[in-house]
Amino acid sequence: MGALARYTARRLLGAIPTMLVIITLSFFLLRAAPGGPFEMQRALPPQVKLNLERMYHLNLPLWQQYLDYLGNILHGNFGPSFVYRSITVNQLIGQGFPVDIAIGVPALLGALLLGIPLGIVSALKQNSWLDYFPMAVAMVGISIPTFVLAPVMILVLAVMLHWLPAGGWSAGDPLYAILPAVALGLPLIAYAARVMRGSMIEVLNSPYIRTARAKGLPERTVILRHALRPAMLPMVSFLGPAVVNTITGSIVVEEIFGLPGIGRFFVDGAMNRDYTLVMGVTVLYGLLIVLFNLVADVLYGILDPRVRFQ
Amino acid sequence: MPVLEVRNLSVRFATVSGGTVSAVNDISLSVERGEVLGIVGESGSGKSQTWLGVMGLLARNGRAEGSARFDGRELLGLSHGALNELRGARMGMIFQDPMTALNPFLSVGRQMTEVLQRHRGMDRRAAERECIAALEMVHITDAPRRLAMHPHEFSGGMRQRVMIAMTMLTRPDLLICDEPTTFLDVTVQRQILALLDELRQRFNTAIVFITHDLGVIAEIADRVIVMYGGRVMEQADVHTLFADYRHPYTEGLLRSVPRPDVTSHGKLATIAGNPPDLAHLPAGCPFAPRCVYREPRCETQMPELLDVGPAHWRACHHVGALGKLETAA
Repeated sequence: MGALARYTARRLLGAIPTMLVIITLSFFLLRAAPGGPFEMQRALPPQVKLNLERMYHLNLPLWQQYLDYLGNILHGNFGPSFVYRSITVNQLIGQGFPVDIAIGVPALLGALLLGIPLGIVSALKQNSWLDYFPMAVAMVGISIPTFVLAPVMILVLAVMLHWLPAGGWSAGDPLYAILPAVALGLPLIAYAARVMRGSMIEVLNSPYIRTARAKGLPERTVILRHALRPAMLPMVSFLGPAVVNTITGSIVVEEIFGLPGIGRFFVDGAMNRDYTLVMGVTVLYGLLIVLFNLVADVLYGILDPRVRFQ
Repeated sequence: MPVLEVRNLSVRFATVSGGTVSAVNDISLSVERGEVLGIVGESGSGKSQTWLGVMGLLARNGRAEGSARFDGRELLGLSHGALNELRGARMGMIFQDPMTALNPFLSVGRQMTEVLQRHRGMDRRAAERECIAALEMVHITDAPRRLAMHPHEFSGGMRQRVMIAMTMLTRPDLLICDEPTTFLDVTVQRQILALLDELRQRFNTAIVFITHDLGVIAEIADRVIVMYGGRVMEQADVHTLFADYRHPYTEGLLRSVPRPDVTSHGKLATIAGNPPDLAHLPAGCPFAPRCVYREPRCETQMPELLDVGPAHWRACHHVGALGKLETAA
């Protein structure tokens, strides 16, 4: 797998310009937005404002600030938050990100571990109730937005049945993660199941599956050995967008359940023009997306022998 | 006893709109051991669906009715398990497009060895040795190395050789070839035909050769069945068919072959009209709307397949001589 390692290394190098573009664009767009971190309802006295700006180097020319920021990022330092006083962005992300991991990872895993088998069963039992029922549920799952689904779940499972907490977070208590993870994961599971069903049906109609059947192989072998691998390819492509969905979805889910994740920092930071906080979260999201797209490409190459890493 | 005997076979497909498409209508035929039976017809004549029906490989919405006996054993209605004992072991099928008929995700070796593991209970090592021999049998050089390769690393002709080697691993009694040379260029086509003939002679395998190419039929077939609209139009040995055809459709097919030795005033003969709509087949002869010898009863009554000579059958009402097309050209 020397070729694979070289390919991965090259792709990682290729991610550097991508990240640079993300950082540069977000940095200047954010600064182009009217207002600033210290503009309150009531204007600060000019001297106070000037002192604050000097403290956060906002008085320097923009290009100087940009270069300083790049330098800091290279050292893994996202700078101090402008709004949450005396806390760094690194600390905020360090506190918030584990919450997102705790709901995002189960949601993604659920999409793969439940969505894929559901899609396969639907494809194999095409046009039977084992196909219609999960697919109808999946359609509903995709169509109902999280901001409708989540409150309904809270109402039924928390308020009426008292099975689960309605919201909030208690580090280390998985009960608090269940509802948010389900709200985040259901649309992903539904989407994965539909993608998997479609690709499985397509593969099962392909000539090489007919050849496998003509060889007298039992149906189990036909599916597991001949159909599964090609049918998984669209699932790999699904991985990149799924991660993006999980990230954007988590912003909404955090808001609904009142979770202290980074999605809320992202929204609040954007509202308050907390430049460093928004930048920090943007860079993290960008890194995750670039990383998972790379993982998807590498998986593609491992699954499909026709892909050569050159 | 023939290796395969088909009686009153029909193949129908349910359409999404609730209708039925009749791809094959009540055909009967038999395949003798060691012979090459050519099946000719244009697209939609049912020539492929007949054999997919026999092999139990129809699309999900397809159904085969009637009888198909392999070595005396009824195939239609056989359980999956029982059918799989025969498929790949005693009857094999190779397909038109060798690019897509082999699984692009598995090595050629894996796809070949699984046949022997399945039907001969061999372990992988022993199966690999057999596969190398099989590849050498179809004149693929450097066979041990090729086993580890994937289909995309082979040329079209080589892939079809691999398909043939794979299908012949179990020395089947019946090999169905569904347009195996259509996608190959002419020189490669020749080599594949020669190879099939060689294998037939060596193992006494009956070959059903489905094609729309009369040139290929002339080269390889012993007997020929001409199909149209899911029915048998004419059936004869290959020499009789070319020299003494008795069906207007056969005549049309033969006239449509470009022949450099016959001047046709720069125009290539065609059969006017289009193949029939299989969802709405006419009550009479399916070829009637395009037939220059059409009589009133052709449109209402399907002619029976009757013998017009020794081992020569046709389904046509027309009694006079053919040859209209020749004088017209």
